[in-house]
Amino acid sequence: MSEILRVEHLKKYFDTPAGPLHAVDDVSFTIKAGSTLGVVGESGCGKTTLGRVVLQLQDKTDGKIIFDGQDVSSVDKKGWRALRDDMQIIFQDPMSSLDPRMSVREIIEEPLKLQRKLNKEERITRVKELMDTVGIAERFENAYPHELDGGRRQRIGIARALALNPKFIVCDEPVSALDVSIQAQVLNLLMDLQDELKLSYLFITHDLSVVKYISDEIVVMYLGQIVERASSAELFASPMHPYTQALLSAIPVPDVHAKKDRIILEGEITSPVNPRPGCRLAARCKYATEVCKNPQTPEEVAPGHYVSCCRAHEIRQ
Amino acid sequence: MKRQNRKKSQAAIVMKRLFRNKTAVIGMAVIIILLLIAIFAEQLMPYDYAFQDYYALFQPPGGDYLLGTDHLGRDLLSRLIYGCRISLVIGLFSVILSALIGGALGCVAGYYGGMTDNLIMRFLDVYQSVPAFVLALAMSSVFGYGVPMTILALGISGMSGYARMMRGSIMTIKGAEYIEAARAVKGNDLHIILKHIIPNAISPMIVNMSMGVGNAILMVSMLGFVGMGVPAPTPEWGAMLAAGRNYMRDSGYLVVIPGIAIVITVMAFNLFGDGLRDALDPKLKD
Repeated sequence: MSEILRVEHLKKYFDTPAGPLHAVDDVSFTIKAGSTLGVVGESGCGKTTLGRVVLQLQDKTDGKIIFDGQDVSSVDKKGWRALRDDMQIIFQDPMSSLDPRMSVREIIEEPLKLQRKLNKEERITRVKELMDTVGIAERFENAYPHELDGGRRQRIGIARALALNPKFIVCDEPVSALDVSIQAQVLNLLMDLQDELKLSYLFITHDLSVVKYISDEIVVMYLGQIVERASSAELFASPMHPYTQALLSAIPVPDVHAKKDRIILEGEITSPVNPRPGCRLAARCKYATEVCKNPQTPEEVAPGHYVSCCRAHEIRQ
Repeated sequence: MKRQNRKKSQAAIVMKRLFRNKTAVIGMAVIIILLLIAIFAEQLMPYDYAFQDYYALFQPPGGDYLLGTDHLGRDLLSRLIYGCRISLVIGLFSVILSALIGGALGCVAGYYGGMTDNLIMRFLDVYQSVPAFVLALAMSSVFGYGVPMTILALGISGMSGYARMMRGSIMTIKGAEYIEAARAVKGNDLHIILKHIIPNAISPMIVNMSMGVGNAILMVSMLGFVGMGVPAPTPEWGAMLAAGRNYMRDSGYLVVIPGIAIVITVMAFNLFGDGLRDALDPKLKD
């Protein structure tokens, strides 16, 4: 399978009065065409910023983005407008990501209008087609977002993202704002669309059950850095990084008699402003030693399984 | 095809909802009547507003002069009708001027933020620390008398409220996710401002303007009452009220009638503005 997206040493720092905030710090990954890369991490770990920077909705500080074999890191604004045909985003909150003064049809039509390829009639046909694809009844075309429930609203957000026939979509927590019952519907819709339209997803979420369900590969982020990367099955079967282990131990098991070893990380998240070099988890990690103060490099512990922890092997034994 | 016909423009929906609101309809009807009176003032006036009948001073309502005459024997009805034009013209145009200046300042402050925002807003803080009426009074003594000058004075003194309102709405909207969404589907700045920011920011402005007209009319009247604003013999309602107050004891109608005219006008604009606010809010449908 070919690569659709390759990100190398991507950095995004925000200027704050106290110093640069490392929202995304030296992140590299690849996404294979037609597959889903899940990004998990707690709130504030930079996963949303990562999605925005990949799409250049926010300027990156440094790094390389290669999309479909083309280096797009230094493409200007105009070039990015053309790239938006292929790269789209689905937002977290379907209420705030839809303009309250636009009807369903106007929202889905907007990208088509801006693309200036279709005439009015073709656009209307296309909107109907898209509504059908994402499963919104045609009678809703003149409704306004606030008149619809969360699931339908998110379907509109998906239809808008699909309007331009993209190859790659950043899904920024697309189901976190939805009911569990509707979450499943939307996730299934996204997976069906992936098969049908050969889409690739960068799927950002904090929900471990969601990421397990939808991802082919998963990266775990902590404070702006990727701590572990592996295929979905591999990661859940044998997490290597202490942070991943702690994270996975937090998944509830639906069995009252099950005995679980809950790994609880002590202390607070360290500040992402001006972080010290070395492992960012060190201050909270029970395995931390002097060597953890050195910068960590990802190490391949199994085929396709990378861990940024110098003590991963010791911990395993 | 049937579905096609059901598509209503947003304006049509707003109108429909406006008409469902009875008080707003009353307000609108009164405003339309007032506008008609203002437009056809010459045809409607039974006498010239400046004509002085020295044989009929202080005529009470009824008789030859329907609403009576004032201390110079001028027909009160004619003066009221012509005064309607003066008050509405000043009220409408001063509000439009306020909204344009204030809206532009608020836009700049809200969109660019940072230092620009700080400069504009601190200036407005100072500006607003002077009571609006005192400011209008000062302005009209700077600009002088007459209708255009009064519009200028009221327009400039009333702009800070609009600036604040515009800045607030733009700052809220600028951070909304649908702006980012629009950018993600190739929207440039112009498209975003025209299609997303303005439609979402405009309705509080419209509401504020429609209520501001009533306020401005009141302000003109107050200016007229203290002797500024529009010079005699132009029959401005506030000036009529001021002139009549000397004879209030014997000829109460000289203050009561212009007073009622002001109250009705201000109320009509307020009712209309209230109804408009409800009608423009898409979340309050039905």
